[in-house]
Amino acid sequence: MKSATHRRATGLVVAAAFAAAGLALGLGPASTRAAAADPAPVTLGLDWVPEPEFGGFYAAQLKDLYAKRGLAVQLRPGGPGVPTVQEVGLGRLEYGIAEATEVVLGRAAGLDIVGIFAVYQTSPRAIMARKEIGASSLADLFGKTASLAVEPGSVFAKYLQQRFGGGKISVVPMAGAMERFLTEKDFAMQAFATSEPILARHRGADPQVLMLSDVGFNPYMTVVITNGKRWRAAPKEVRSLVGAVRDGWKAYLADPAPANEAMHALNTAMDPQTFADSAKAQAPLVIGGEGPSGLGRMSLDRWKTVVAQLVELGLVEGTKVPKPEDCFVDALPME
Amino acid sequence: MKRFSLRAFGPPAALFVVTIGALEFALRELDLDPAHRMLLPLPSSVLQECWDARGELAMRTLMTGAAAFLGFAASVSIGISAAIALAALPWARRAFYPYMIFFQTVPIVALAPILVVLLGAGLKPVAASACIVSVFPVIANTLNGLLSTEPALLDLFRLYGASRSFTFLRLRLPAALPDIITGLRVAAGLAVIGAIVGDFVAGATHWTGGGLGLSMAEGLRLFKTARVYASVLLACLLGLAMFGLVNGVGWLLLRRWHASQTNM
Repeated sequence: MKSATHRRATGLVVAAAFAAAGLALGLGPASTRAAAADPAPVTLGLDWVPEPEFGGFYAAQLKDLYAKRGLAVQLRPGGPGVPTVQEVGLGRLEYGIAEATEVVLGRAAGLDIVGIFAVYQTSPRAIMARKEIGASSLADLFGKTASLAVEPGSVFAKYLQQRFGGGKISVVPMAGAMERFLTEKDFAMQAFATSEPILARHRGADPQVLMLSDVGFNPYMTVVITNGKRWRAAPKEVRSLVGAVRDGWKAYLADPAPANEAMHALNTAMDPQTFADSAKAQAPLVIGGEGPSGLGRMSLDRWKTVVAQLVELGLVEGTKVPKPEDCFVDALPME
Repeated sequence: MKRFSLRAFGPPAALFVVTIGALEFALRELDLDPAHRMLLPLPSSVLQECWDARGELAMRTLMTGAAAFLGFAASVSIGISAAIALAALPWARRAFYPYMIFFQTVPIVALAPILVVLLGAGLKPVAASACIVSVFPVIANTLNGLLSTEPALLDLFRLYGASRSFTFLRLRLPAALPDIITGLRVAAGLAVIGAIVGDFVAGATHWTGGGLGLSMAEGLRLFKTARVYASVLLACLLGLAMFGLVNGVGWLLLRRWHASQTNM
């Protein structure tokens, strides 16, 4: 049986050993700790379910591109009606996805949100029409006797109404639109060039895709947004995120398969073939005129156009019209 | 008439004015940042929006009101007829009643797209939606009323040799009126809800059509929350109007003899 003195001594030695180990592991005073602390987690809230339009974000996650730039990014899938703009505007969500029109409308309503990276240089918004209608263009389509399924309250629908609204075409609700498209000969519907036409072709149809960008409506789409306060307080973090996102998109454009697989696991409603076809269809829309170096870049001229169009549609007016230069920032990393 | 006196309308109106006034004052004092201001617009902004967009909002209220009224009228006729059939045929009552309960619990948000596909666009699916949501209270209350006739009175009619149809028209149906009116009161408000939900899905048949549901959806999309609240306010007023209509009919039918009306 060990004596009390011996036990005390053993205790002191064990404590010293633990303290040494602790110091070695960095549990001592702050000055002895390594410089890189665990990064604060941030969330990037998507505005829809995981689909190829978000491929670059998932590719970045798979390749640890966020971590390599010192970020702990969590991707949060969205769905119909997810209020990413309001959440970012209220400071509840660090980063979100929105359309350029939503940024302008949000700013007009008092939310301090800014665009930092635009996935689509060319908007994928389109009208998918049956070839039997015989329309040669969007302008021509509106003069035909046909049904057009759109959400009348959406901004692009208002644009179409303003430009071509006097025509013979009749507006119908979106409910059951895809089924009607496949069965009726004089049917057209709103679509994303990367989505509905592919689904229609898989079901044996041969749709005509009329791009809205061809008739002057081309706001940036799938724009990463953040709160203006965050940009001013932590520009380095924002630039790091944008850098990671851009590298992620480069990786996704080169090889979409791994990210598609990851997204398919989260969105089983879309089959792998559609993921692949959609990723292929969207590539030219993502890469701008400058080629891959233009990835994500935004220009003041195009934001000016968005603001002007919304003013012309009567959706923002008077003192509330945001300045185009306030709507976005050039957050590409200084390389 | 005592019903329409200051005593009846004064207190609720005063409460409304005081509450809204307090809310306006509180929101102004709080000095919210623009983002939160967007979520909680001042009551005065909502009323301003009602005025600024009065033409469009009036048209939309009319559309939703028409659909709600048509749907309500349909649910009254279908509901009362169904209840009469179920009251007269016990085997039918046992067979169909559980399915009626089941049918009522299917969420209208899920049914509305199917209605559009079946009935086409425009007023029809919205009215159908209003009908589906409001029919069950009519059936349930009417059935209850028809089956709750006082046994002593039934015996009296039988003693005097009254036929089944005579008993039905002169005793069962009039005695069931208070319950029927109660069912209609519930159905009136539900019809407005059904019309608004149907509107979200059914959309419009032309660029500028649609009712208050579309107005709400558009307000949400354009971050114009004052428009959303204004649409909600008008929807509530519509519901109140339908409720008042039913109350008025109830008063007309029951004023001479029923305790609920004579004891006002």
